[in-house]
Amino acid sequence: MSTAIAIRDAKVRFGHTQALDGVSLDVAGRDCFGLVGESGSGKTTLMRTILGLEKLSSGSIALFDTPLGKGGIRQRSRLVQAIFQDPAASLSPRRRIGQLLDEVGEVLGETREEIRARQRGLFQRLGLPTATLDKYPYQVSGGQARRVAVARALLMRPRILIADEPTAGLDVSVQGDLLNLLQELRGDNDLTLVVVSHNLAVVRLIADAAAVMHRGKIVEQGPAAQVFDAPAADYTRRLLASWPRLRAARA
Amino acid sequence: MDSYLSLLRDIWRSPTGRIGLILVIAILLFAIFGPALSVDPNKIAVKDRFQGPSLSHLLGTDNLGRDLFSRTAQGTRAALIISLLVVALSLLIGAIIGIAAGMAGGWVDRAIIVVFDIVNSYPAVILAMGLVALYGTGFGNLLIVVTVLFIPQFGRMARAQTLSLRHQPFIDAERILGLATGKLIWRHFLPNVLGPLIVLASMNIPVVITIEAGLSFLGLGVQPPQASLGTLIKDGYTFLNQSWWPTIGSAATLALATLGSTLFGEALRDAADPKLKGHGR
Amino acid sequence: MSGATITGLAVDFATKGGIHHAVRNVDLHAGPKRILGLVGESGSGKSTIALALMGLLAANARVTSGTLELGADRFDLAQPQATAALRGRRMAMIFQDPFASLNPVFSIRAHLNEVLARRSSEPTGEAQRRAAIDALSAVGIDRPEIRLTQYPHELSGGMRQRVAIAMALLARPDLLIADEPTTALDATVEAQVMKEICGLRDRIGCSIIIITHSLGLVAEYCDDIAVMYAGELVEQGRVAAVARDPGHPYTRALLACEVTIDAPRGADARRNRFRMIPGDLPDPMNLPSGCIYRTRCEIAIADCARIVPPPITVGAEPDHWARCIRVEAR
Repeated sequence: MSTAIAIRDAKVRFGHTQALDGVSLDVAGRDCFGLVGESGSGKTTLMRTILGLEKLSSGSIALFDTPLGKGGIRQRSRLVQAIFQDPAASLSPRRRIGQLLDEVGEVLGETREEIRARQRGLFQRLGLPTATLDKYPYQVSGGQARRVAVARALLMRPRILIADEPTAGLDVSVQGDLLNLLQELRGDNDLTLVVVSHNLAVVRLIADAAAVMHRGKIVEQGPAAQVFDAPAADYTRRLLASWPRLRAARA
Repeated sequence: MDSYLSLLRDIWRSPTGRIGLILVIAILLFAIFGPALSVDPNKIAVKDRFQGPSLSHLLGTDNLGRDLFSRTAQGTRAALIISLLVVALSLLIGAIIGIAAGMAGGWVDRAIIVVFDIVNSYPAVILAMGLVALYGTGFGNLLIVVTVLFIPQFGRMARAQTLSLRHQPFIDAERILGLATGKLIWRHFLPNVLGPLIVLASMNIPVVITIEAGLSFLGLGVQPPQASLGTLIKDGYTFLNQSWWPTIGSAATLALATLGSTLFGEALRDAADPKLKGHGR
Repeated sequence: MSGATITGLAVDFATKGGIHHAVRNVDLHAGPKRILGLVGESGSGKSTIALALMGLLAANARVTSGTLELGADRFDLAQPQATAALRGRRMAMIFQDPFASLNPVFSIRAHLNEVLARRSSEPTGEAQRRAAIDALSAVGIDRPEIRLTQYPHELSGGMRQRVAIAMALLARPDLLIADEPTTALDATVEAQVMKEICGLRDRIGCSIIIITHSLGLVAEYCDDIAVMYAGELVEQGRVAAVARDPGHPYTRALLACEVTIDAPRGADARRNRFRMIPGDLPDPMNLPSGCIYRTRCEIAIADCARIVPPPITVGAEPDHWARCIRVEAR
């Protein structure tokens, strides 16, 4: 099994803050990898660095053994895509959804017919009416915007999909929809999934492996069963212990 | 296209916007067709001076017997041409400089801001007078002077928009698609930067008209026998105790143009605000 | 302190589409020295209840009915400014955004002094300063003397919430309302802040209503639970009783959807599936007849459309009821 993401000693500095302080990790291909931590832990910076939105101060990142230069978003766009925390805000407001998705065809060098056919197929798969293509982002519901964002990411045929706080802002009664969708996507495609989240309980259930970040460093890394159920690091233990439990009431 | 139509519809729905739109269209029609519908504005007929409104002279005549309707129409046309040109030029130049400042950051950004502040801190008319004193009067110079005055406003707004847009999630999303930078700027950056700028432009048009009128009133703008709203008011002012017809037409036109543009601009700003549109259902 | 009882609370919002009955016929009881967790999802109306009690509703909202009994006193909530005199004295509120409780241009000391001043009986000067320092220490803020001179932006989110709790401590209210007090905070800080809120209950014996969307939070820290759905209260009871034996289908569904940190985890993460409640919230302008939840309920029958379910006792526990005519079928 190949290594989807290999990070060695990554460091990122913003002014006076060391956002990433020597991070090294491996994400195995076709795994679901959980990147957890509290706010300010550096998980969002790490995600942005993998996507190419931030530059490394030092260290290296390789996707499927292709080392990436310090910049180079273009290289990465075929390999890794993302769905962001606020899906509606991730859609350009003054363009129609169909136009936004056609851009994928431009970037991939596909003809109009090819990309449109794939759009229709994906929309059907995701339960989106084709009429959505003619709408502007502000005209669709939050749930539909989320699916459009997923569609756009998948149209790029990435090998790695990063989900940034997929459950943030979602009620417990609806988050299952998105989570089950992510599980399905893993099943169908040759996809490596990275979930960046502060929601330990959810990540525990969908991740094969995970890393816990704190203050720009990785404090724990390994198979999910170990990280969440038998953690070695003190910080991880404290983090898990502070998570409220339902069982306490049932006792 | 239909997003522009829906903007117009929203403006029509708001009561003040409707008034503004009607006034703006009325003034435009006046400026475009007025001079064609009337007699020669420069025809002097001293025996007809200071007449009140009549069928042959809809707004009366001035101190030299010239028809005021045609002179006012011509003056409005001149005022609109100047203001539209000035606003368009200062918007374009201001936007380019502002976006450059926002994208560049660092000392380039700071230097540009300082220049903007310097130009902004001069009272507009004094600066205009100074520049005219240096470079002389005339249509061209007037254009340049007033354009320079307005560049900082558009520049600052363009810069502020750029700064806030740079970190928007949708810009991130477009970047990670691997979209070429040129297309990114043209399709996703520019429309979002220009939006508020255009609203600012429509609200600045009356200001430019007023500045031009003020400068012309002081004799620093358009020169006779060319008519502009400012020169018309000035001429009328001189003869106010003999007849107030010369002043009324041009002053009223200036007031209505200003009111109309302002109301329209505000309604346009409210209609174009995506937040007020709401988010889905 | 003898608890707070809210009876028949109803709040309407005037919107472009018509009148939205955001809260309908809610009865709540927060016992003395007890923490009531008011749980609900988006559109449940839970925050509206808090704002209605404190008199902080938006301009287009109106309390159409409701009474608040605080100890021996009754207040008609439909009267404007009904609870104005209670604010900061017998009723206090902590907000989700830690910055919202604190004015950025006033020092921490100024904030605490303001609360002390409302208690009029406090002597001024050194005794006031001591009381402020004691309150800050009581909520676990280190170096309280230095904190007094600081401003809100110099403190972390968790620290600011603790200051808000300290202010409540000094006010010694009969009823404290905390609206999503820890939602904006990290898990480790949340645990600490919730500990302080529980401490408040023990120290001054007030009633506390915590508004949250997290069942886990309620299960871990609250004594009683009330569940809101689309503007109505569908179940109330002690936390242990409701968690063990939920009477209302919505409560059951919610409990099933909640992902706990100790949920069973198979060997293959791919196989894990998540529960959800299919369907949508009812259209607020077009509420269903009978039971509000019937359009999404798994066990709805024909009668559910005809009868508005009254509160029905669940099991043998005291004070545990659910608005469902099929409680026995659970």
